Amino acid sequence: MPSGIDINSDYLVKLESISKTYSVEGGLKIDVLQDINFKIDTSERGTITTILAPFGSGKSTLLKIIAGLIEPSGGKIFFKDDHHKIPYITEKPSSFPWLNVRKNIEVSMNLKTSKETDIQSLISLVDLAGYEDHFANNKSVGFRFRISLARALAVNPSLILIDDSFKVMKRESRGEIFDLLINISSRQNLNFVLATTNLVEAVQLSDKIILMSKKPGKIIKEIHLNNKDRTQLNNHNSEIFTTVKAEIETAFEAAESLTTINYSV
Amino acid sequence: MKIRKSYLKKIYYFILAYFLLWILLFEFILPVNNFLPKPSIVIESFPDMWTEYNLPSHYLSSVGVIIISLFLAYQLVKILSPYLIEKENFVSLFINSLEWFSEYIPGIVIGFLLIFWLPDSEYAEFIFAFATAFTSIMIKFQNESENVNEEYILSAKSLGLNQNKISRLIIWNNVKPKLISHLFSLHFYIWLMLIVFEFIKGGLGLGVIYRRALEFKDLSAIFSVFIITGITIFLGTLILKFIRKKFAFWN
Repeated sequence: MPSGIDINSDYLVKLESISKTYSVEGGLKIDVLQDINFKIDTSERGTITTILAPFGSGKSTLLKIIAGLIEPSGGKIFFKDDHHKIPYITEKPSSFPWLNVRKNIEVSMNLKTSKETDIQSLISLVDLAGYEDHFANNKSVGFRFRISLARALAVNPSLILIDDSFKVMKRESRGEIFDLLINISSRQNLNFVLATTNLVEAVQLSDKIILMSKKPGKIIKEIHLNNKDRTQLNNHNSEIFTTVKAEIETAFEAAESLTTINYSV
Repeated sequence: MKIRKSYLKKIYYFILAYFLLWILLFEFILPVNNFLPKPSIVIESFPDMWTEYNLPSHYLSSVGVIIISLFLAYQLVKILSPYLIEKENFVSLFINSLEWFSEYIPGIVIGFLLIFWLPDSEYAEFIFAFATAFTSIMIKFQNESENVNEEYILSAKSLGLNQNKISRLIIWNNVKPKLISHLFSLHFYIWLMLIVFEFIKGGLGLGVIYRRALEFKDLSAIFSVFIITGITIFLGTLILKFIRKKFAFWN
């Protein structure tokens, strides 16, 4: 993989001119991503970065490239840590239905070095205490997301990627998960990179929003949100929320990608 | 669940209706005929099945062959699963050729060859049943392994699981419910093939009783073995359904 490690760097992850081209039948080539550059600085530890983009802009492809699941056609990715397992939580539930909560978490753990207390503390962290022996099969999307999150936390990462997983969740469940993610990121000093098409989701959760246009996917703007304004940002009638929303709309309008962004509250 | 229960109820009523119709027609209205035996004669001839036809050994032989061949074939496919997933290796190419052959050559033809090669072997039935089960389960596994949920694979890879663990933990388990469901129809198919095989080869097995009963023109024996075969297949399917519910309950 065209990636590198730079322990002395001032960033956790840095993407440099990442591009992705797919070849289709007839020799035709489709540019999915073009010249993607962004980084998450070490000063941004414990924050949530959201990639807000319309459908078909290559958000998932970008996350898969960061996770090392697919190769970019061009560009490089740099990580601060040499141990860079980057868990990728997929759009559809990916907790294994044939395993119970505990076994799901154990899958990603090194059982030789980890202790029972580690597993139990992860279960408690994602609010699944009491459900250790419950199977993921036929459980709600929120329940299965919590398992995926605990499993991701079990590899002790510095960064977790979440690919539009909230889309199919019930509203109440989504609210609880948002609080959980914000708590975990700040308490565990852990970074999340989310991909979404939902503006409200992005504003509610993020410390930084990266706007991407489509065909090909390109970064059009980065918006930094102040954590002090969190209460205001959660209020959809507040002045700050309206300002941020207008800023995002204007950026997408300029990039002609406005249509498939979800503005629903 | 309610729909399922009422469906089963319908089947029981249906069988009960046939049973009553058989008693009514062939016990009282048409006691002498060449179509179906008189119910009282069937009941009376049951002890003869033990003495004249040696039913217990034939029955145990067929049931044993079915259970052992299905179990071993399933376990062997499980062991080989990491190799079966790879599309370019010899094993996979061999399976593709088997799948192609099975579309044009009925399995029983292989059985004829086996009878020719091993006319006196006690294991010929087992080899035949095992080969049929193994080929079928292997082909099913390979086809289904192409439809494994991508989310599980991506998620496992990002968590650092190696290919062997992905094959054994994720792909195998993802395919398992479909594989066990496949055993329902395979179990019936193997019974069919085995009875024909035993009928032709002789030796041990329910097929041998069918053959002897036909030679003796013993309608009640044919009918008795027919009922025993049906009940055994029904019970076998129930056991497989229980296994599916208990050990492969996920979707």
